[in-house]
Amino acid sequence: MIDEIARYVGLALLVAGSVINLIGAVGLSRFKNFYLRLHAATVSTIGGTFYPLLGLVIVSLATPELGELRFFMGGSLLVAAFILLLLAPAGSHALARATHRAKISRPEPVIVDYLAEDRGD
Amino acid sequence: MRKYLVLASIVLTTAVVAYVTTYLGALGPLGLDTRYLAKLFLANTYNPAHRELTAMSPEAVTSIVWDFRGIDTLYETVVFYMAIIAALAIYRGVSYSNVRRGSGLSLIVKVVTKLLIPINIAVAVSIAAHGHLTPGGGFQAGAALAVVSVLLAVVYSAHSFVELGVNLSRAVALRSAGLLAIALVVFTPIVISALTGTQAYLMQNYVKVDSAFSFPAHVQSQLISGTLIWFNLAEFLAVSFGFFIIFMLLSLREEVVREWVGKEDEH
Amino acid sequence: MDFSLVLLALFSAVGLTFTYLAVVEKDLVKAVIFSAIQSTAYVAILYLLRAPDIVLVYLPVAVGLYPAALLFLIGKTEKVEEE
Repeated sequence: MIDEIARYVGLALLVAGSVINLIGAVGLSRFKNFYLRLHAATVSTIGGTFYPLLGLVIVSLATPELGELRFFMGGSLLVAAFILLLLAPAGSHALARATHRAKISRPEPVIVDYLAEDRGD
Repeated sequence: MRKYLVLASIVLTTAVVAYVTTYLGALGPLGLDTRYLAKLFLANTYNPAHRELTAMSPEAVTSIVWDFRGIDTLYETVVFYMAIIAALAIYRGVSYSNVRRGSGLSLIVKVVTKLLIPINIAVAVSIAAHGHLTPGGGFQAGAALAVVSVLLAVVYSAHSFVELGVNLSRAVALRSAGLLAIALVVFTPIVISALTGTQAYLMQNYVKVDSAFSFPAHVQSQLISGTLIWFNLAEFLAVSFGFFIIFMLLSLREEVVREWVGKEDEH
Repeated sequence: MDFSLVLLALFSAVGLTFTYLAVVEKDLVKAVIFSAIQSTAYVAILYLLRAPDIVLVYLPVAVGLYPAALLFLIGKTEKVEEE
């Protein structure tokens, strides 16, 4: 019973992840400038990859048919999810910072840009 | 217009290649000679009953790379060694001591990288030490560890090599230690057999028909597959520090390099 | 029908597309990134063809080391390919 519920929770996370991926893809192609598109891209890295990986962890742990191997699968998926949780924000942060410093993307209109003011531009 | 033409040709190429190779069977049946060879390798990679043929490793690729065709791999390692010697020759005289400290990327990226590097090293070491049991091996592990050098150079700037104590001469020494370890494993059967008055082959792993020398296949019931684990670990050291040398040289700023190379031309 | 064959066709189409983009792109940094995406598709193909040994060496070399070496070299020379 509890296995059944856990498996459905995991599958729900998977489905939610694919919906979030779709939303992120639409945003990536529809948004106007670099920073907004980066925002859409991070939506699909965290929401569309991290949560489905967690769902797969739950599904693999709640499937006793897999035997002892399910702990191995779940553990490696959990490690992958954790590393992704660390790496995705750091990567998008580095991208945004590099773009802002190199002044490649200039969004219009700019309401406020404290970072550029602090740097004295 | 051109965009659609390219898109259509890509789709068409993929569809035609997929159809021809699967449904029409254009690749043809696998040749009998090839199939025989594959069966021979698969039958002998882990086969304790045939000690004079087997490599005693469940990993077919590593058995082939370091046992069945070991001399080939040795020469591949030599080619890599020569490439790094060429790089060192081009950058001759460049010292790592007067590299200035760069700012690198932001604090967030630095902290994440600091967490990531130990994971990367652990993965690389496990690929090398498990190379005879699971997919992987010395070169794979060396390439995985070399990513650490790229991360250090990009995220923390080239000065971080100096702070970690990895200067060029140490990297060269560690890489040479790896190559020496390979040579040691290659010549061990001959030396030991000469001392005991029997004969053996270069890179011999286990007993052959006319030679009794054999590396231990197990250590306390753990499978180490004779020479394979030693070759993997030594190759891991040689390849990873070879890549370290390459990226340490490449991450130097062009002005610093020109300064040194130009200085030599004046003399 | 084997599902992995469909995936193979999909990934080879992605690889072909990004090979084309890498060849025609004049901005060399973008070309290196396209080449890395093509390598990612090839990693998936090699994994589907059951060659995990090649995957383990291809992934760090083609996605990490090779673009890094090329980017260092582009930084030392010119960023845009000339006609």
